[in-house]
Amino acid sequence: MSRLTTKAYRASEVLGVFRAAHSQALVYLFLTFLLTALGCATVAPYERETLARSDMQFEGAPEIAEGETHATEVREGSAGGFGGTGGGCGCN
Amino acid sequence: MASPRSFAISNSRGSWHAIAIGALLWLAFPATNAVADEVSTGVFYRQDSDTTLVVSPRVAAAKYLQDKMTRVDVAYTADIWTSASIDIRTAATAAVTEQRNQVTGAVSHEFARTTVAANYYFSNENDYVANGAGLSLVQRLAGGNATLEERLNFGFDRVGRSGDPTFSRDLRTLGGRLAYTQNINSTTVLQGAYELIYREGYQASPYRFVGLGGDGLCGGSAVLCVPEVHPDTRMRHAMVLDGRHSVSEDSSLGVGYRFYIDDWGVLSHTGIVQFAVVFGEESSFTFRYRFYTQGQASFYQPVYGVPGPTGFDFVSRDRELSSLFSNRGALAYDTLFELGESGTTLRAAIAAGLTVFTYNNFVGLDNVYSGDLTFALTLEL
Repeated sequence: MSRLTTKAYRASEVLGVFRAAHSQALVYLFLTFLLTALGCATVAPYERETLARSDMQFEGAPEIAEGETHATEVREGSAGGFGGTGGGCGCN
Repeated sequence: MASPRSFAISNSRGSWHAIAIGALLWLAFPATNAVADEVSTGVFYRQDSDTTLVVSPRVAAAKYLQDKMTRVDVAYTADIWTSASIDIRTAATAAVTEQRNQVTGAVSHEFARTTVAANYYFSNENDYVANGAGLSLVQRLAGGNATLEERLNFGFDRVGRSGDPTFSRDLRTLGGRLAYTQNINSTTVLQGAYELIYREGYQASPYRFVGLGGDGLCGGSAVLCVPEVHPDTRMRHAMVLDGRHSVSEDSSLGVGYRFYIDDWGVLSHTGIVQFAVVFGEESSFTFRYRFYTQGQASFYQPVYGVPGPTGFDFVSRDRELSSLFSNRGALAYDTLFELGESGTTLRAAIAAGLTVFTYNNFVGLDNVYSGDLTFALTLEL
């Protein structure tokens, strides 16, 4: 194996370790959020008026969100997390 | 070498299809009111600098049963697109117009502390048929301060190739989503979600070909031109952290982040910031910015050399597997009208967005600029 190939191999190995560590750190961060958030706060029903406002909801209105989300998903290599938008190729 | 898309029809005919379907939906809109509690109609329009136009009319209706504890939804969406994109130009094919039709049905029932829902969709275009179903359970916890959502999705797709009745490949999807939402205080809510998607079957495009050697383009100086080959399985993971904070009595700030990774080597980050202003109970205005960046799949190369004795396991000319990033800004406005004293309301919404895609290593395409417009009406009886 030439010196250049060896260097390239080590660089890709280091990058691979970094990517794995990065992914693991995010998984731990996510799990920590779930565990610490569980039941950590109590908001009385009469205090939830603001939380019930339409702009505080995570799910957008489907009649507005569906077209844009489908158009975005078929143009990226990623999918999921924010909810799905039906099927079909639409791969224009 | 490229497979001809013999179904290609003229752009004007495709536009007439879109207009005719849109007109039918508008005519059906008032008639549906007789049997439904909520009806909506809308259209999504998108055009980009890669010569692709998409028009998607949509109509939906919802009915409540058993004192509003059960809700039934049905929706129809058409996706009419005309394109002479880089994929089509590279394949030396004329502009293509296609129509995808999708029907969706969903039913949900609310119990004291849980909501159970099921949905099904069927999507059909002349070279692609998709069936999918989902089951979900939402549990309200901690006195209504938290919700836990569990969802399972199944998909069964059949991929065809126009002009070649012998070509038929299956693609199966199994997915699961877990989302936890927590009220932090009276003005802040957080959500964490994890989604796993496993796909097995044909995941390349039957229309894309990869040039080996030369400039990498079939029809260019490539030595060989071969069909695109992707792995048969793909395991995808997406993790999302999302939050909403009310900054005043009538405005809120939302921040979201998604980390995505899969076993094809694609790793991406998505960031979303949105600011919304509410005018009374009737209207709201939202500005949304989205940033997306991804690395390329491990087997993707912008230019493949001439293969040695072992050849390549996989070759791709899919820009969605190349290294890219995008920026998107969007504005949305919606307002509510009360119709008479019967409690009937009409909600009108309009949204417009601009997106710029930048491809770091895709031969023949550096940027795509796209604009989209959505218009929707929802009548609640």
